[in-house]
Amino acid sequence: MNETAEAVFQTRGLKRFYRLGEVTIEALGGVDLELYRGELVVLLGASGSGKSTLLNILGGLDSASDGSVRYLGRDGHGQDLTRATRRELTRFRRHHVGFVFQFYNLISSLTARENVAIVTEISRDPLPPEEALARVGLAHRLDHFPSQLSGGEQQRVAIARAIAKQPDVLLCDEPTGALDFRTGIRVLEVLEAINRATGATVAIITHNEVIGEMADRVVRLRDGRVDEIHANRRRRAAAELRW
Amino acid sequence: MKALHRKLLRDLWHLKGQALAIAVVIASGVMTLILTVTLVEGLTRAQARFYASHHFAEVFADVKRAPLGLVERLQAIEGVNLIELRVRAPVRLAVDGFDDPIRGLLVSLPDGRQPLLNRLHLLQGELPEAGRDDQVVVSDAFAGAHRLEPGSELEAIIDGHRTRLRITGIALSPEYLYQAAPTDLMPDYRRYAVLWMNRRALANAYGMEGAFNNLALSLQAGASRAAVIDALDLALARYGGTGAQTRHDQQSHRFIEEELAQQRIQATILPTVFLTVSAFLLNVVMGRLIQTQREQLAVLKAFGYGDGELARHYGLLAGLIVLIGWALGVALGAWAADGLGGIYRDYFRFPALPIRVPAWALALSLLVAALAALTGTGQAVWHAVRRPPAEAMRPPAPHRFRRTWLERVLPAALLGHELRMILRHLGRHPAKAGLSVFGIALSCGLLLMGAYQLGAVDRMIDQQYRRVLRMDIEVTLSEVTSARAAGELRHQPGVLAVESWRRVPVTLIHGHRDYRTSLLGLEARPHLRQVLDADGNAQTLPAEGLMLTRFLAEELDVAVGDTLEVAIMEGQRRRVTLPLAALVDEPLGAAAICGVTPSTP
Repeated sequence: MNETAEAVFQTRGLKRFYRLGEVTIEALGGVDLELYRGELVVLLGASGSGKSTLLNILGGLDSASDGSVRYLGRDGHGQDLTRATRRELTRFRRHHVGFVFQFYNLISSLTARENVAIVTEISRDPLPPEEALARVGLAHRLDHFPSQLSGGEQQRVAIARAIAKQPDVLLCDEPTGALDFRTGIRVLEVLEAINRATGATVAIITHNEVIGEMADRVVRLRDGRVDEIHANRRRRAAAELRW
Repeated sequence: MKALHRKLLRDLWHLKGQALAIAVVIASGVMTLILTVTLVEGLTRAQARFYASHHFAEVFADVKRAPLGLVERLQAIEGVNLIELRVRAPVRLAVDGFDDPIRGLLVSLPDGRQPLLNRLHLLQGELPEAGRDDQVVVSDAFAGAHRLEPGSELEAIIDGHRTRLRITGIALSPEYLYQAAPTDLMPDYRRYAVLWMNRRALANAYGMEGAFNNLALSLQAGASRAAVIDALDLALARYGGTGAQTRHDQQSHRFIEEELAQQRIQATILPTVFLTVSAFLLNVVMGRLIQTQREQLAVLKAFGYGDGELARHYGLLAGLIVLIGWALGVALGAWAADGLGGIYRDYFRFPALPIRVPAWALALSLLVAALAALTGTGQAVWHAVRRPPAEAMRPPAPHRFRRTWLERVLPAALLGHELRMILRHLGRHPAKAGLSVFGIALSCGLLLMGAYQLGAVDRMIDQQYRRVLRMDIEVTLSEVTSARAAGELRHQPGVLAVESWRRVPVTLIHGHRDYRTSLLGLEARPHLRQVLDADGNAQTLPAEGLMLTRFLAEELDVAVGDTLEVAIMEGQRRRVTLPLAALVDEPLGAAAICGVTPSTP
């Protein structure tokens, strides 16, 4: 990615404090960062480095204690997320962002198709749930409940759920963290394919250095700050990764 | 169907055990509400209709014997509308094939026609023909108990003579909706009857030609009851009037009113208890459910569901449980009201007692149940929904615990780790712990209330019929009789002991309060009709002064040692002043008691 590319997210001096019980924790200590349209970026960092907090604030799941986050959508919709109301943040999440979580977070009482439908039912221009599931290779598992699917299949349902609304941005928090190597690669292949096919910005959080090789850029976080940003000259295919 | 609704139904199915338990508690509250409201409404309506259509009188009075000519003077009393002068007399009856004695009350009818007031509702047959002295209409309860029909015959001992009476009709009367003999606790339709007979025949038999001994009257709109009663008492005093009464003191009316009052209280207490418990249970279950769905809720929010949509989703879950409970409660309430209505039909002889669940009761019960659910779930749902999704997705922060004051008070050696954990958990949510205690207390209260009612009735019956009234046979004489009669009874074969007493109508007056009752004159140390103190010990009657039941003393606001004025409502109608000597603990009745030796009745 180069300096002229359009920034989807731009953060300036982003800070976040938490009160956990009786202790105050500084999760982010002033982050300045851009994520560009259509890139696949990997956020690397040790546990507690602030990567999940950053992703949550970018996705409108959490609010910053200080600093600013600007979002610019493909439709030209611009928004300062740090000033958005609860209602505006809900609308932002509904129409612009897809999430993939480490532990899939599927609704256990709904089938694969229904887990996707629960999101498409409130979206503006969604893919049919069946098509979203076909894109992640699960066209044959539509009516299975989460308890009847393997971990990799559950994560692919979660990806189908995230992409079905055709979001501008796909935010993935440790998507392979709970999976074995082979299944993890399969999931990364799906994310890679979606990035290429839809042009959605994909941000993947991980502490696995190898995954950084498939990214356009790798952002390294340490103690709530950006430690280093590194642009890969060539993205490696997910299928070539080994760990 | 939307995926969110599918989730709702599957969650409900998953929770079916707990949901059903809550629904049953809600159903219990709704059932008691529907049951009591339906019965109160049905009884009130049936009573009002019957009173209006059959001209139930508003004031009643007994006299010893007054001339019919007095009617003009009575009619002139301001506020009086219609007057019905009647002869009423006790009678002994016998029915073929039934060996026990039957008591009856004969009431006169204008010859061959309906009275102006307290008109009869003929279920079968017709009124006695004018001029006949051997025809009667009988109360339907008694007729039913003995399978009597128009054309059946009875034997009556009227003023000492055996007479055969032919039944011409079977009827209901607004005056005798509840038919229990004056000394009975409960109706006994086989042994007590009300009969209506032509006035002339009844007057002839009891030596009341040209006279009456009972009257009923209705009032003009806006008339003062108290003024009419005072004027009536004045006019009737010289004819042996024992004091006019309003409906309030009329046995049948009073019994129905008390039953209605009791139902109204039940309509408030029981549903409140059940619905409070269900609110508490809903709070616990919904709190738990939301706790376990913390992550699902966060995911739904992450994908763009708003606070309102999610609050509605969980609200709908609670709402469905309430709806199931409510529907069950309505069905059970309607069924129970129908069943209890059947029992009421036996006790209160209305021409019709339609039991229909009023629409407003359905709406009210739904509203009350929904309010209980809202109280129980509103806070839990709102808190969960307002939590930022990122926070909801993280594992909850460790709870804040503190050392409780009990730990500081109790010696450390007494406190093991388990006890410490328990105390700190309780101390962390004092309101929740308090609510749990309150909920359990309410449940125990419910259990106790049920057991208490049964126990209270048992105790009252035991006290009244085993400890106070210890006689095997009670003989009531229609006239004041010499004590020699007791002597004669004592010599009857099989009689072990005889005790006699006298009952005189009185008005007790203390300050500005007064109470009409009867004064019971007993032997100095009664054995067969005992007088008990608070500890249940038999008391000897005081040589001087009155004894009052505790209830009556409280009504009159009088303490032992105070003096009361006693207006005797018969004979020379004297007024005497007597001290209150002691209190009596009797569960039934509100009698005043004094000592009287058998030789001075």
